[in-house]
Amino acid sequence: MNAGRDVERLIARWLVEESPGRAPDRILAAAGTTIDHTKQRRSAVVWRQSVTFTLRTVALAAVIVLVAGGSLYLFGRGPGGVGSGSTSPTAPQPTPSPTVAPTATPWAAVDVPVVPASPLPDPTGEGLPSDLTGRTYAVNPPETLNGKQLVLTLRAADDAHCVAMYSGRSTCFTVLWDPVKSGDPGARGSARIVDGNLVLSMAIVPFDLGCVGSEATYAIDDAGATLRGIDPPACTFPGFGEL
Amino acid sequence: MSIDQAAMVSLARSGDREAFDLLAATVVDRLYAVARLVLRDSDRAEDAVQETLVRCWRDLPSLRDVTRFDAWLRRLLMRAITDEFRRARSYRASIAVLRIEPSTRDASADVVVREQLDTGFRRLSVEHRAIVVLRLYLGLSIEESAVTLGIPVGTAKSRLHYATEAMRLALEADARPPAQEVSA
Repeated sequence: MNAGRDVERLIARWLVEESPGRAPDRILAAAGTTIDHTKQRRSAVVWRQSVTFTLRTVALAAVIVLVAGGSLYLFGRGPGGVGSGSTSPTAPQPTPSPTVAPTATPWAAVDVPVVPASPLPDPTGEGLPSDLTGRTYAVNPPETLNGKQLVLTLRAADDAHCVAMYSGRSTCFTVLWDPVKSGDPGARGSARIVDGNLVLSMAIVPFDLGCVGSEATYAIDDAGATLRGIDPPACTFPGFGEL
Repeated sequence: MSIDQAAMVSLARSGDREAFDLLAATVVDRLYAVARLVLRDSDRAEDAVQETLVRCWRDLPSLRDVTRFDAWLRRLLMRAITDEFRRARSYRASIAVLRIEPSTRDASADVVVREQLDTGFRRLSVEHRAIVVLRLYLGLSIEESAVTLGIPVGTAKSRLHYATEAMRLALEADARPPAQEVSA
């Protein structure tokens, strides 16, 4: 035992003696050159976390609000529309305004149906079967924040959220904080069945535009009680368990 | 982690390149030291650290808790080191040349012991080298080391035991008189 400790001490001392004092400057220079051409991977984590507005963000938002003042006025007029102040998922009123811009929207109410800025393409696959729609799931592993948890809801094509996004052409999903977290619009998009698996397509992710268009495939286990990710990308979740 | 570093991580995570450059400057020496010790090769260590910094920038938005930055960065470094080690191994195999770097220290009274340690260490796999450096150089607990390497605590203990035992045997083997003298 003591011999082992002695050897460990000897190795530890040797490692300290062997360690280089400083890294060559060229490491930072070379890494910096590569990073100049490397985009950060934006994941859904950004919007999962508490929304922290830096001064820079606030300043940018102020500019956007000023520029988009007219549009905001229009948003405020649509009952049940984005920015209406309602927190209940009332029947959608797809406004004729085609100018809904996710980045400029002051997401005060977050669980209302959202009309995309431009029509979403028809998703591939088949709509969800009726035994899956209306079901709610907790993100697995759980994502919690101040007593709130992230919840996936699978919705029928005639659900207000799906009507708003796809005019009723597709089943859809939302991932929102429960209870609702003011200012966090979560993520939403189509929910379809492809080759027997559930495919979630991120269509509206206002706080993480890099995730828009990403898809995740889930195996439907335990008669729909468990959704197990099949190599889900960074923007999405490893899996879900029914609540 | 200091408040300053946490702030830098937070800014860098949101895409602030200037903050990331400052952050990188504060960690690069430590990263390089670990990479150099494990890989025993300056060029490979530089490549591993560069790769770590690039991956750090790219994947930083996925870091949820900025206070875990150090542990997260160590994991990135260990992956880069492992990748570099495997690349180096295949390179060596292809040209059948093993490059031995000179020790960074001059000869002294215990130079023989150092060479024995160096020889014993080079015989270890990258996984065993990594646990030795994390535990005995960085001073991480066995649990922290296990998390860094993504292995169970039991495996970390086992690897550390094997590695130190192998190095102890290397020291003893070199210290023993030649076999023919013993048997004579």
